[in-house]
Amino acid sequence: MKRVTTSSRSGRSSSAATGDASTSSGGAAVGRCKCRCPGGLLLLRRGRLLSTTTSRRAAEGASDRFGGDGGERTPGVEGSILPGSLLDGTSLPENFSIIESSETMKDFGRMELKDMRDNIVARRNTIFLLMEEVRRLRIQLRVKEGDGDGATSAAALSEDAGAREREDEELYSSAIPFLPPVSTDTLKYYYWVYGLGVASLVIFGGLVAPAIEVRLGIGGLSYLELIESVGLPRQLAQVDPIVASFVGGAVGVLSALLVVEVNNVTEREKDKCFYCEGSGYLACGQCGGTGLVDGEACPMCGKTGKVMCTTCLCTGRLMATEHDPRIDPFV
Amino acid sequence: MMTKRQLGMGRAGLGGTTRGAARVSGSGWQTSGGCRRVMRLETRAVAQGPTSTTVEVEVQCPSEEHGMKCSLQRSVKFASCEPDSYEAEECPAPLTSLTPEQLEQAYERCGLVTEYYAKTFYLGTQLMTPEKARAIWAIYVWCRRTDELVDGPHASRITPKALERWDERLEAIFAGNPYDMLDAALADTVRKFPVDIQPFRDMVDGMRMDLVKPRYDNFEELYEYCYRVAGTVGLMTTPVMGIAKDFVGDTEETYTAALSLGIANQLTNILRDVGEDTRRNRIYVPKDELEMFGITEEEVMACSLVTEEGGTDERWRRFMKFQIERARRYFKMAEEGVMKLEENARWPVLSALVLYQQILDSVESNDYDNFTQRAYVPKWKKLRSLPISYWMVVENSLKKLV
Repeated sequence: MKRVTTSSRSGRSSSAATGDASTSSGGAAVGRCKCRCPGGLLLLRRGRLLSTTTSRRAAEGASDRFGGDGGERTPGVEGSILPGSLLDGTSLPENFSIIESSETMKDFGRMELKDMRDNIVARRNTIFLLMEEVRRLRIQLRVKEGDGDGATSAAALSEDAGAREREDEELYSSAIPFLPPVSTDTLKYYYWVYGLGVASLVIFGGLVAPAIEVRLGIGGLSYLELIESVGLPRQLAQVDPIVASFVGGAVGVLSALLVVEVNNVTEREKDKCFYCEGSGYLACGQCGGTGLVDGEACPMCGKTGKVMCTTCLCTGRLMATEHDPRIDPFV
Repeated sequence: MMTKRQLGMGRAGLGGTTRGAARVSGSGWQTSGGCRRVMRLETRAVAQGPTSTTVEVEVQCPSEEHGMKCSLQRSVKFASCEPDSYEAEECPAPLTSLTPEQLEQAYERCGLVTEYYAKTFYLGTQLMTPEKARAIWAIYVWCRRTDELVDGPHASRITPKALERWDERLEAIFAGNPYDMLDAALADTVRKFPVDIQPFRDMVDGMRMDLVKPRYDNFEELYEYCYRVAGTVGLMTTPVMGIAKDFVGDTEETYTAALSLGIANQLTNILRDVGEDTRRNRIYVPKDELEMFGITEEEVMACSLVTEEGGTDERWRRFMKFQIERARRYFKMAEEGVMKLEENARWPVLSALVLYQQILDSVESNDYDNFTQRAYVPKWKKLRSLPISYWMVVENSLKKLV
């Protein structure tokens, strides 16, 4: 999670991108976005949406600069006529809902190619602005909540940031199965355990075992006797000790690596939306994923062969969280 | 003459007045006259004095009647179809939009989803024939997806419009135009088995209820909800389990038993999750019954009825005993009907019944603490249900022979 601290500017939010807009008359906003993005024009057309993103501007009466209630059509600029529902203040088609149907494929499908690109850029811009606003609002919220507890706003912010840095006890789930979650503190403990373990193993194997003549087998059999008693070839007892320890170590390392990797995959698998197996889409029920029905474009999925997975909403994740910019970008 | 078991549910404490006339009723349920499904239950309320009265509460559920009627009609029509003759509505032709391989893949995915989310249930389906198991998986996946719309991680984004969309997709499934591959599996299932659309519609309505209704005033309202979210499952799966073309038996009684099993399961769920539901601001137990036992809604929401020092409040204990008794009554009714299913379907269904009822045992052994403790059935007890239910099936068949 990014911890972003902002310098305390006055409550102006997202002023940079929206910039100055001049409108000729109510309804037809013909201004230019300061950032000169190609979507700027479209941004301005979307009357009410813009005015909500600039709370300060709204206070300044900016909303009427952008024209009416935004429900009016604004055709004409650059000859692109978008369906009215896409231009009105809510910025979404009237019959929009998060569950797709065969009709929604066609809603946006009616646009021209260039308009589509412009719309995508414009919407991306809006998303960014809104995300930024959410982030700043959250900061203010934390500040206000800090105020309620008697701390000053600046102190609360820095205290907050400092506390979080100190609070480096964030627990990560272990990469090794059966072990509890780890943090940097636990890791220091693990280093100690590792060091002691290796040292004692080496001492045991190298010094203690030969000294007290540790023998394998019941009744103090030597290795050669054990091999012979089990019936295996004698060569096994004549393996060079360095080779033996190398082989043993290598097998141990390979097993450990395998275990860790398997565990990693299992953990990642758990994160996947199980309905679509992480892809975010399901095969279309009409064309079976081919995109064609009787040689023509499938009416349900329009040649794509795929439709949305309603469980994960196309995120592919079991619980779409902060990794999906649609849901919650900054905390 | 009522047996002690029918009467004996422990003494129910009463804060307020006794309700209605004191009448003693006989068995748990009966069909009467024009109204096909009337549940008679007893509430045992003890007034301030030593005398006790047994009261009847009739529960009527018109949507359940309608659902059952539609399901019965459909199974009758299906049974009357000539093999290989497909008439549009009654006996629809098999799904042609997908190839057999694609359909197979779809069923496999349904199976994987079922296995992932409901391991015990999946094990139960392994006790059935493969065709039935696949059909059950398809139904399970649809029900689960519907439930996740309102209970899943994106529930806050579900609007009435989204549920309307979901309804449209359901109609399309039954019309042979499934939207995605999981819908396609269900579309194929409803063509092979006489499953009617009405229970599915009722389930979506039940989900709507969950969005708008955080409290239930009386048992009748709760019953309506239980029918919609669980009784419907019984109606959906019975045609798969046992209503084959050559099945000889009383279809309606089988459906009724399936409904009872659904209701029993849902009541068990509710009783197990009282504490968890308060955190989502939902109380499913009926308000008037809480009042009858002198408990207020605020006490339930505050989870103050179970404390570390004092243990479980006596009123809550009595209340839970009454609720559990009622749930057990529904299990009993379901059990009687399971024996009317097709031979190879009895064991899995009975296992599910035995297993789920053990959750009630677990609640009891937790001293009715469903606020801080989660009642669950350990693995060994789950495994134990299998031979127990098998024996019950065998015992019943032996009884019939004698």
